[in-house]
Amino acid sequence: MAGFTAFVRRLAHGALVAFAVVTVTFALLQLAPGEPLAGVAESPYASPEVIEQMRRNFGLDRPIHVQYARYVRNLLRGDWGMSFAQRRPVLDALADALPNTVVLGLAALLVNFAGGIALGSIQALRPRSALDKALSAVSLVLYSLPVFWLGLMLLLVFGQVLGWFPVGGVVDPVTHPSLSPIGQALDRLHHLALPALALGLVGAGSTARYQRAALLEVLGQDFIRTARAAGLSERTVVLRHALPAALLPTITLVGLTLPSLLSGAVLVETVFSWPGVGRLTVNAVLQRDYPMVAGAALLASIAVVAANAVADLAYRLADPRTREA
Amino acid sequence: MRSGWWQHRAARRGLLLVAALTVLALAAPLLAPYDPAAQPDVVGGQLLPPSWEHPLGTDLFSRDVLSRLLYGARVSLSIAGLATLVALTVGTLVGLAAGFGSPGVDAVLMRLVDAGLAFPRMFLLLLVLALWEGASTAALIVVLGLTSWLPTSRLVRAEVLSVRQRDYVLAARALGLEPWRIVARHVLPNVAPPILVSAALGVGQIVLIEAGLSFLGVGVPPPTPSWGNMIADGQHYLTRAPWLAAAPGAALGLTVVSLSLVAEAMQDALDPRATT
Repeated sequence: MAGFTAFVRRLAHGALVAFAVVTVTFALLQLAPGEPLAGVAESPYASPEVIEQMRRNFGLDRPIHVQYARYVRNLLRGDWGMSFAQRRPVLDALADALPNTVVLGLAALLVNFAGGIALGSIQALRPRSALDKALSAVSLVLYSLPVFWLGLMLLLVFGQVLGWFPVGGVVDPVTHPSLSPIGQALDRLHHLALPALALGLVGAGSTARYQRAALLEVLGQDFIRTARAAGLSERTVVLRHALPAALLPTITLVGLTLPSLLSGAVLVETVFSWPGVGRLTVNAVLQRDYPMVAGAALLASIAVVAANAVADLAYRLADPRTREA
Repeated sequence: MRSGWWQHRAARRGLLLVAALTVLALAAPLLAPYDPAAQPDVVGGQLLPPSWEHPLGTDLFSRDVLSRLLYGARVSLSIAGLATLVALTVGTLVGLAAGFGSPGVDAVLMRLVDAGLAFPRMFLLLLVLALWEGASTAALIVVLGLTSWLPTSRLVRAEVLSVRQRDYVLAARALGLEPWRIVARHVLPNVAPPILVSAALGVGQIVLIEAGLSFLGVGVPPPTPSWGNMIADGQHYLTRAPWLAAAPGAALGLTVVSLSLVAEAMQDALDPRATT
């Protein structure tokens, strides 16, 4: 019951954060230089009366708090404005790009956590050994590398020099339609591999560090000593008792890594011509398509808020200690 | 504490690397073999592979890559350093306000910080840079700084809350010491070490973010060399001239690695229990 109250409070908190983000976005759009109808005003056919009429139609002559209320109301109704460059609703363009980003993000999370947990666990089982030090250096380098550069280098080596992977896009534009369903799935995975690897490996570096610390701490605890004293094999002690306990703190990282994952996706999608929300945003920035950029920024932060709420709930379900609190 | 700090081998290595990079950046005009903007032979001298005359080759406009790399270090490091300074100032002020302010002020400020942390920084920066088209480097520094102060403010607030109730601070208040004196004498010295750790990490993060923005074409504009826009130039010649993109990326990685080593060692020195 108390857990439920905490969850409701968590949701309310998330809603508050989303509201703050919407307000910041509105403020930025208002503060930006330039008249919203400047492009129209340049037209020889637009008389001052017509422009005045348009300002009234768009509500630009109203006081700022009225415009703000209208902005929030429109967002809630699903009207996120029109993209200047694509000449269609922002939300439609985002909806088209979102699945690609979700797929890339989930694949990168898999690389991140599978790689990071494996690395960190190997290190924690042989602390201070040469292997531990070498892997520490590897994870330090991984999380210090610029993600777009790592992407470019993977592209250079595995895409262009060795030719093992395609150099961009989601599917092969020529052969994809003629492939069998299984062939199409493999084609997608083939295209997904390099961008997911680039985006995931950078995060794996820091996940490895958390996992190493978490497992080391668990291995020093009494219940592990008891398990060993009871004569359980080292294998059982580690796999059945230590690892599950150490995974919990590491898994909570999923929510925390999401903002940097999304920021990285912007760069990786650009490198690999991956038609997701990140590349859509970059193109919108280069075309000065403000409604599109603002919409993408809102979507990204709402995704983070939602993911944090889900991660929180998952943690509550997984860890019995948080239930009675 | 200071001696223990210096004995740390990784710290020494990291510090030496950071110092070396700073010297390289500062001495770029002395060290660079060529003018980074010079285009001696646009027809015959473009995309030359590394050689004795051009240790890192030349780019599309026959410019010397090593010289551009050295000048790029100045640009990238000074932007990151100054932006970190902005972030530390704002973060410290907000943290002090939250820690010393009324519970209401504290709650509002910390909710704002939460909201900021949920905003993926790249999207916020892209929105700002799209709206303020052609922002100057100074504006870029301010924007980077203003999006990087959130963790610092949390650190400072936590430290204020823990210091505030200590006997010597209560005594100082009872004696009627002015609040700013308490801050200067008792709070800041306590917060300084964790702030320095976060600053070392912060510089590295901002170096990476600036590189990303310049790579996308919204950071440092092209004629000025920055490691990010050099990688952007190089990405179109990956197979013909891989050194163009490889060299600045390696420089970026090395810079961030050395900053992380320094930060890590400082962390160990501050909290020896964390050393494993």
